[in-house]
Amino acid sequence: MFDWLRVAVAKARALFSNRRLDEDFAEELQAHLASLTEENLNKGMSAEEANRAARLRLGGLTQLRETHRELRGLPIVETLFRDVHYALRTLRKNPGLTLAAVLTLGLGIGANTAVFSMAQGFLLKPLSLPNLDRLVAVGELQAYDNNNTIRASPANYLDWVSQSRSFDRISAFDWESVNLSGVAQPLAAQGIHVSADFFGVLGVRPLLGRTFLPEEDQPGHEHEVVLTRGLWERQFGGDQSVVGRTVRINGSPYTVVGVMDKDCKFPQSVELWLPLALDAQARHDRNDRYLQVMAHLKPGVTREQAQAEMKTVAGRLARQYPQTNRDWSAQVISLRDYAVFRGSGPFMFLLMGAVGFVLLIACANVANLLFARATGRQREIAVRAALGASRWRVARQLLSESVVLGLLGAGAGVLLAQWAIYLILVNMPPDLERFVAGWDQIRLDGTVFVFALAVAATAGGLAGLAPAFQSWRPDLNAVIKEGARNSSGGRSSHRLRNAFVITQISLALTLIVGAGLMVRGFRGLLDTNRRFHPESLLTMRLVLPDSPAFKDPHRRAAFYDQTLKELGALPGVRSATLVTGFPFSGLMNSGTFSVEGQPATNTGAQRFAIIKDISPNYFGTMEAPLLQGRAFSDFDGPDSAPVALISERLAKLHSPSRSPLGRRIKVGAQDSSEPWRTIVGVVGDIKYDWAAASSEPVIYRPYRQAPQNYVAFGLRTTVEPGSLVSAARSAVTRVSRDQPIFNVESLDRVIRDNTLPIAYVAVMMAVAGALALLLASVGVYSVMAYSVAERTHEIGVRIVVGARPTEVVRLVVGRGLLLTVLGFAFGLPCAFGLAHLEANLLAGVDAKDFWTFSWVSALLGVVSLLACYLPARRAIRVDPIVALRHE
Amino acid sequence: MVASKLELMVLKALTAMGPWHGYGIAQCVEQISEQALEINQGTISASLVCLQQTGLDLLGGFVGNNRRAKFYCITKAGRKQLSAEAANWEWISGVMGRVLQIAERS
Repeated sequence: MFDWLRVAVAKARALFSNRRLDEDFAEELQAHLASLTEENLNKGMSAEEANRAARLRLGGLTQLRETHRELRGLPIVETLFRDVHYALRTLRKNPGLTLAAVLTLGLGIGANTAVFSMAQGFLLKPLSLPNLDRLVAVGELQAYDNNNTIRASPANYLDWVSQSRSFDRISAFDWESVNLSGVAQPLAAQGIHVSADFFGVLGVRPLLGRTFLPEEDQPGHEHEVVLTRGLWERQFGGDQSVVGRTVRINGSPYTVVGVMDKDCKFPQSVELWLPLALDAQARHDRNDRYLQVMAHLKPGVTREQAQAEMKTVAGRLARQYPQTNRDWSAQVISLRDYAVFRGSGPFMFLLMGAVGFVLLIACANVANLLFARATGRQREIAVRAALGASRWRVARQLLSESVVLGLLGAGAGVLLAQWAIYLILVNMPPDLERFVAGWDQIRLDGTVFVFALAVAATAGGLAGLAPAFQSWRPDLNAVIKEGARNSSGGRSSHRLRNAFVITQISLALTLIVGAGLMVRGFRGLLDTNRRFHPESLLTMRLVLPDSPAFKDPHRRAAFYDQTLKELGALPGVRSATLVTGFPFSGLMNSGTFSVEGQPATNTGAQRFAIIKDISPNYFGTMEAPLLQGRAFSDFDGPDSAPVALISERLAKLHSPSRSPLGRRIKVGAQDSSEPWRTIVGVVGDIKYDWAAASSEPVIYRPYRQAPQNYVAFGLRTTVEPGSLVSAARSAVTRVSRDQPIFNVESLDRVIRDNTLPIAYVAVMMAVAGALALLLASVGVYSVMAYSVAERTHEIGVRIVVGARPTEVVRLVVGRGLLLTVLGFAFGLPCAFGLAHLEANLLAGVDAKDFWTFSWVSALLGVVSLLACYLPARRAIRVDPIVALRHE
Repeated sequence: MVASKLELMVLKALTAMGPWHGYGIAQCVEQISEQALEINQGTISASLVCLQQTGLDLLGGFVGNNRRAKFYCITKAGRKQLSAEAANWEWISGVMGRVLQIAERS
């Protein structure tokens, strides 16, 4: 039964004990021969005769040895060793070619490896948690909702805990920006309220101290805090004795009970964890869906099963509490998908595609190199074939050469990738790492190495395919007889090389157009903000604590009034404005809204808008035009009639034919407690979310009528904004001591930081495009140069019989031009496809950007013409006599 | 694993004669086949070395006239294989025999 295994083991062992086995066999043969000779002697032959007869009887010793070797070992593996050995030797003999091929492949493989390691960080393991595969996020989902906010109301969450059977651990959390004092300088920190089992679900242990105890998420017991390693190192200098210390959070004393290690960074931007204490009122709240829920699947339970179960549970709750739960279902998504940075998937795939193209172009170049050399080696190959090498054997040898090249390229590529990753990480602002999951996971690890090797082997194989294919059917007679003279490889090889050139040109065209559009789109994105001069707008954020002092909306409004006055009076400040979030600052705050007299239909046509609360001078500061009606004024206070402004986009979406002025809308559902607001004006669009494909509908409310607990201030400065940072801080402190402001930066800087991921994509696309251009032009040049060299003799003849140089140039360049045009014919449709893909990804990209298409075409055309012209010029400068002698 | 015809003969010879050396086995195979087979005796040596990886176990030792030669003996696995393949051969030759004996239509 295990015979084959025994044979395999024996054969594998034979690979490594060649010499001993050879000796054994020789011994055996010797014994045999001796016996035969003895027999012959006994028959009466002479010693010499006996020996000769015995040898005849035994058969050819060399053949015997060969047969024996093949039988006992693994001939395939042995020839592979031999092929690799031979390949290394040939490559060493051609250092120039080897270097060129290894560098070319290295560029391609390096780019792919770097991008793959990024994709791995962002998409595959955005969190370094031990049991990430078993973790899910659970949330409520409205039947007709397409806005995937994975949230749940507290009462529903508690019912899930008691009713669901799919999870062995489940936990809820909620965000709160808190003010941390009792440390050197009060600061705003991103806090997360978590139920006690939070760290149990994540499966992580603290670096210092402990996590929360089961009773610590009960109201009245929640005065403990766990720090992230980052905050601990920044604010407490990594002091080991921090456990047990008391700090003040929003004014109340909290005891530091533990510090988590670097790996534990969930949710992404967290700085400290607080217990989530749901009071009696919250425990019965089904309407307010603000908790985020995650759970650990029981062993053997799949996400789909959990999803099905949660649907049943949610259905039951919907029947039980139709008031609050009607139309609400539940969804279970993997925590990985949940943690992946919004929108990074498509961009990563775009980049993977781009570097894939670069690799293909590189492969075509190397294939060309190998092809040219294989043509030069046709004689060698023919001789091998004549001596009895099978086609397979020859093809395999050529292939193993290119695969060895590929593996060497992988070595170069991994070094390049290492360098690229270093560049990528070193230019990343530390703030970004807090928001985009997976940055800290970008590195070269085992998976990436395996990927690089696989890419290298494939690339090597691809590059070697053409020469191997050519060797498949050598015309032995012709090659050996005619020697080098006609070693150009014939028509089929020309066709193949032309195909390479066409492919390279079309791939490069596609990629460079894609890169150009991306870069232009990104610049366009930034340019939309130029209008309001972000470089002279100093912005800062502020979050009021949930303390009695600010519970009352009037107190909040009064605080903002006072702060605006203080800030506006600073020297160097022209005006101070307030908004709940500046454009591109990552603060969107979108929600549903209702129109009076038009009940929302349950058909998915949800009314969704960004809600912004602003001070009256906001539009003046942002230089957005008022299109209809009036703007807010200081008279729109808490006691006057509720009013709203809407953006042009919203007006177009929801009342395209009539003027919206005078109609009434409210934030939230028709029956929500929000007041109906009269639309008093329409303002020009301001883009808030860079990732959104088009301008978003926006509803503006005067801040005095809806004072939130978080705002951003903007100071239009007449001096350099950075010089006002400390003055602004102290102005806020004058209004309320212990009230920190954060993210004090010019809006320009805020925008740049927030669009950095897309800037990375644009830069990387540009690098890929540049690589493609470089490799493709080298490819075109080498093919043209080679074909001119091949035709030197012919060109010599032409010149001798009277062809003028211009005609020769036209001959060569004409062929190159034809190939270029064909490349364009294939490349332009691909480029259009890519352009559409990018236009869907990024708002600023115009898929029909004529300018980009034309300059890319022109650039590529000029480059390939040059690549044709240079060899042509060399051809006509050749002395005809030399050319004629050229064999 | 399917043994070659030659290997099968070697195995059979070994079962018939007990532990023996390469030369002897080669002689034996030739004699049994009544010189119908003209074998390169070296090939027998080669197949012996290969069989050793699977079906045969080495005995080792010295032949009487002081020349060093390896003795081979068949193992259990070898016997099993031999009987399986022998049955197979008999079946094939039986079938072939019957098929070839079908009388031609006159």
